[in-house]
Amino acid sequence: MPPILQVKNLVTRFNTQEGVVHAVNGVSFEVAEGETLAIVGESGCGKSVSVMSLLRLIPGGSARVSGEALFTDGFKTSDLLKLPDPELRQVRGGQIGFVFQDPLSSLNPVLTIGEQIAESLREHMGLADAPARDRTIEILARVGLPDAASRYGNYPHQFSGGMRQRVMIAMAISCGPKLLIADEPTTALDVTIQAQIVDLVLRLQKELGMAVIWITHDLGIVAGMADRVLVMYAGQVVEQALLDDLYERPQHPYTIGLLGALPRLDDVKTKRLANIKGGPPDLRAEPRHCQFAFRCPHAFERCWSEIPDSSVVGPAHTAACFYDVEKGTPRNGS
Amino acid sequence: MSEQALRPPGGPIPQLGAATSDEGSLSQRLRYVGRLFWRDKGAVLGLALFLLVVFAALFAEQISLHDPLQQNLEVSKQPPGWMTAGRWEYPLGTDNLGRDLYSRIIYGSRVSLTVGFFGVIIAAGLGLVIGMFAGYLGGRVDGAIMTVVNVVLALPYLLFVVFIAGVFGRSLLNVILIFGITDAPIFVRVTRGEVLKIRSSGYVESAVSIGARPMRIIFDHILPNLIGPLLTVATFEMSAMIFYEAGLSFLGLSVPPSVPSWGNMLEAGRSYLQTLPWIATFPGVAIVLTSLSMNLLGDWLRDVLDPRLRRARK
Repeated sequence: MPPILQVKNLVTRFNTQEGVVHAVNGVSFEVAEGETLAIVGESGCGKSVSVMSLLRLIPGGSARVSGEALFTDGFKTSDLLKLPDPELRQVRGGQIGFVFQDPLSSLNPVLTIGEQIAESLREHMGLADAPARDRTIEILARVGLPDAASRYGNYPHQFSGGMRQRVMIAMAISCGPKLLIADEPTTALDVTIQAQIVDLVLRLQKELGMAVIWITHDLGIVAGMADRVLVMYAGQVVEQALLDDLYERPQHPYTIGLLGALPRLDDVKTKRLANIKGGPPDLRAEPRHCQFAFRCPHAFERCWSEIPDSSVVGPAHTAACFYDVEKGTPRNGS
Repeated sequence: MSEQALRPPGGPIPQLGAATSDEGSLSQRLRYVGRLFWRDKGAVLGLALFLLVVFAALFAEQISLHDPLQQNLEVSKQPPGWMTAGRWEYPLGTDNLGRDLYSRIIYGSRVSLTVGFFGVIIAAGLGLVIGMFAGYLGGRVDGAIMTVVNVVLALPYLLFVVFIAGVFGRSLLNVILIFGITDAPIFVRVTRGEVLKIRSSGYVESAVSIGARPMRIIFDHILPNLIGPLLTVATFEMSAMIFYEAGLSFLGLSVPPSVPSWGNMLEAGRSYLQTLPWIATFPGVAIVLTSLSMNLLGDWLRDVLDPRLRRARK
């Protein structure tokens, strides 16, 4: 499958009063047509900022974004980071849909949900009011909203959190995007609703043939849905692998730590969950060495003097680490 | 009827935000707001008083008993009708020139309401546009606008008024313009604050993420959310303007003395406070009640439009 999105060396910095925050430091990845890519990592590791940088969705104008983000739609490839505003608006919601974390605040309280979805249809597909309304109702039914026609005129507060997230998804897919970016869409929901939302997105993905980027810190959800996983730490991609490969053969000490911290069904009840000692690094310092070295059990001299590049450690599997965890020695060339 | 209508009057106030209370048609929702209104006796009183003043202003010709400008020295310094020397022909008495106080108060409401209404419209209009620019564009535009706003707020407005009145003369239009301009900064601040809040909200972010144009965000997402807070501020500001206009009239800086306005009447009665107290008392009462009615209405509006405050009230 050809990639529809190629991100190369994405760097996002925030100029704040306390100095420059290095939120994303040279992130590169690809998304193939129809694939599900999960981006995982702890809070503040730059998952959301990376994808929001792609569509220039970071408010306030304090972010400096550089790098390349080639988006291919049909035969046309364009760099999202250099698109002029009017064209970028066509991509947002047209070819790329976005679902946010908090469905409670992502809907305007004074507009009916129908109007908010129809807005996107009129904008991108040039539909008149009546067809936009018909299509909105059709989409609402498609995301599993019972009695969609009568719910068209309802206001957001009349919906539960799970229902609102369905509305948000309806809004994001209304124009048939090639790529859906879901930024922790299930974090604010309880577990049964989480499962429903995951199922819904997977079903829509098959029906519409979209690629999905799913951002989460929940490795349990990732295991149930992703094709490929990208692990981020302190604004960098530390490991990238196919789903099973990552769970069976993690190569980066951080990934190993993350997986070790998961509770398992066959664990003894009294055993404490493992944790990764220490906290994430201060992003205000410009990275000059491996950012995980502070917490890494295998860190050695080189880790403190250079930033590791992603190196291939298996088929479709890369890790940014100088240490070979399988052999228990530093990698070749170090 | 729904179960809410069956609740005892002292029961909990139904919540606008609760999914069960305002589902359904517009008329149901209006009825619901009406119920909230009747529970707040202050608001009912405020509305009644305000409507009375509006009625007086609109039908001054019909309900006044005399020409408010007609002087008649034969009946000057008449006490109000219920006093022993009073005559019901002049229910609130007459002033030192024999003008009917009741009719003058009726006509005086026109000045107060005109100043309050148009002053607020100008101030809110200016404030809305400027505040939107400041809040939406942010950065240097915001900094420049807020500097100007703070300078205007720091100017002693009385000095401003004396200057304008001295240069352009005393007229109703000048008073309205002065109030409209000097009061705009309040609206700029409120608008800017709300726009900043709304612009960083989740729903604007999601509107941007589906490709909404800036104009669409301003008109569909920001403006409707501004109406509530601005309406509340407008009520309070209108009350303040009515108050200030009376103050300016009293100082002789507002409408010419020939025009019956409450402030002018107050000033005329000042020298007779000890001997003929009613001349200054009745216009004073009119000012206080009008201002009070607007404040009561404003309080209620604020409570209704801000669910968090409403919940805190008993």
